[in-house]
Amino acid sequence: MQMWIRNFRRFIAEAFSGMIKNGLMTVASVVVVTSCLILLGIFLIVTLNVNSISENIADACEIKVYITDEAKYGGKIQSISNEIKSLDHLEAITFENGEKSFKEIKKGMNDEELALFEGLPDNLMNDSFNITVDDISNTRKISEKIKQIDGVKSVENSEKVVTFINSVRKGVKHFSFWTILAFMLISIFIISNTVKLTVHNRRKEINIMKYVGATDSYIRWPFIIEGILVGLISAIIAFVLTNSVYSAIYNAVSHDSSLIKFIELLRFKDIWDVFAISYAGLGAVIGAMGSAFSIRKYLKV
Amino acid sequence: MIQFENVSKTYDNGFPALNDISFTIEKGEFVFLVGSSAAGKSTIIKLIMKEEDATEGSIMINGIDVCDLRRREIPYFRRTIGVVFQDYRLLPNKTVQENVAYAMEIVGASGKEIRKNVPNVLSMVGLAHKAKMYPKQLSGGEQQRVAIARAIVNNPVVLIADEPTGNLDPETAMEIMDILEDINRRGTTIVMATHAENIVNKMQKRVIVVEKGSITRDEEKGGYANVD
Ligand SMILES: Nc1ncnc2c1ncn2[C@@H]1O[C@H](COP(=O)(O)OP(=O)(O)OP(=O)(O)O)[C@@H](O)[C@H]1O
Ligand SMILES: [Mg+2]
Repeated sequence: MQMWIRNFRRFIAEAFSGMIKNGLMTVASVVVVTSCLILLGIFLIVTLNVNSISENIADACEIKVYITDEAKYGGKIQSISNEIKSLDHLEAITFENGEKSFKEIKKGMNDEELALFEGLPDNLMNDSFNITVDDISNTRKISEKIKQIDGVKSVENSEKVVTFINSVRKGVKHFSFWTILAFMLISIFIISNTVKLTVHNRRKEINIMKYVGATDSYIRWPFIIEGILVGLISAIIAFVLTNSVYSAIYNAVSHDSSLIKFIELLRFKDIWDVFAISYAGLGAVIGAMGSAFSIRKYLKV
Repeated sequence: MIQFENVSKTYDNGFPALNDISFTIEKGEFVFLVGSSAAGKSTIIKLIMKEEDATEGSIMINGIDVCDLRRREIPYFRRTIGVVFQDYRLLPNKTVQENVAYAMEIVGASGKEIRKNVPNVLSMVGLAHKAKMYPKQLSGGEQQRVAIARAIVNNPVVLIADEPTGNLDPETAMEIMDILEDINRRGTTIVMATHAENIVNKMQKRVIVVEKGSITRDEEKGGYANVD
């Protein structure tokens, strides 16, 4: 146990000095790993934002069901409500009294605007149900079903928006797939090559260590720790870069008032943990694996 | 101590480097391995340190059957023998004292032992004052002394050296030989492959002559050339 601690301290010291003394290679590896992590970061940013934006839009996409006056005064509201509730894929349903809504709207108006409504009856607006659906892909189906219900005057949904979101989502799914694939291939290729270069430069060193009688694992550990350190340093750099670039984009977009309100980007402070964890985790794993793989060949002396 | 029995070595490419050689070296001996180029001297050294496997025959080092060693046992076996090469083979990124300390670190020595033994061996090879220098700041002779210090710091029973003076001028070579003789006097067995005729003649130690993969002469207090 004591021996293990002693060795571990030596491995860490070796790893640090290896990193410093092979400075150029360390820098090269850090650049490569950082680029790979940032690639992953771009993918994360796009996915997270598209999901959040489409959720925002979906939330804004209620189905509005207007009730005929006959139904209203014929006391049919309860039964219509029950019939709607019996449908699948509903998330929430609220009733909106037409007169009340009209009053609410009028409250928010100035005198000039109010003058326009002078003399109109209070029950100008029909009563309605506001329905949210579990997933916007079901909006159309449910709208169709509700239209069939007796006493329903009309159903409103923002069909164009719904179709648009659905296609964007599909697009992102494809995009994610290809990005992940490209990301993995590129990083595996570049990193294994960079580390191979590093280890190749130190092949003589490894040989000497073997001549002196160092075990494979004694030689391997400092390299693996060095790889992990390179990964973590890259993660920190990638994190700082992501933060500043993303925040700049965020500020530019949120100042642009022409973009409608639900295309609101996530703030970095709400998603930083996703980046911190995936950068650090992936950086360390890539570094360690890279070292472990490429050193294997040279240990066979 | 070191016992070769009917050892043959044929390299993977089919070249028969050693052909049925046998010899025994006792503890505390100083032995020169001489012979013309390509005779098989380095091959013998490689067999002793298990860098290559014998094709036939048996090799006992220190009571260990080298042919039976498993791969993962090799590092532990190598720690019992010190090795010195013509090209020094120091770790370029470590200072003189770190190079010597590394040999102790791998066997799990404590910091205290390392701080005690490293200066000791360095002053034994006359390099205490250059402990903090890097190999590339040293002359060839000095680098070879570091290599020797590293080879003996764990008190091996055998020190094998493959042309340790090959890259050095005669004067420096003699200084290295003085150090090796000193080490030998302290009880370490030494096997040294060399071309240096004057050294062999001067030292008057046991000489094993290898020619074309066979031992042609083996005599106590011998010279380099045949003096029959
Ligand atoms: N790894 C190898 N593969 C194939 N043949 C080899 C290998 N190593 C050595 N040989 C051959 O074995 C023969 C003996 O080589 P060895 O290195 O033992 O000679 P040597 O006596 O040390 O020569 P020198 O004095 O020049 O160092 C040579 O002909 C050499 O070409
Ligand atoms: Mg040789």
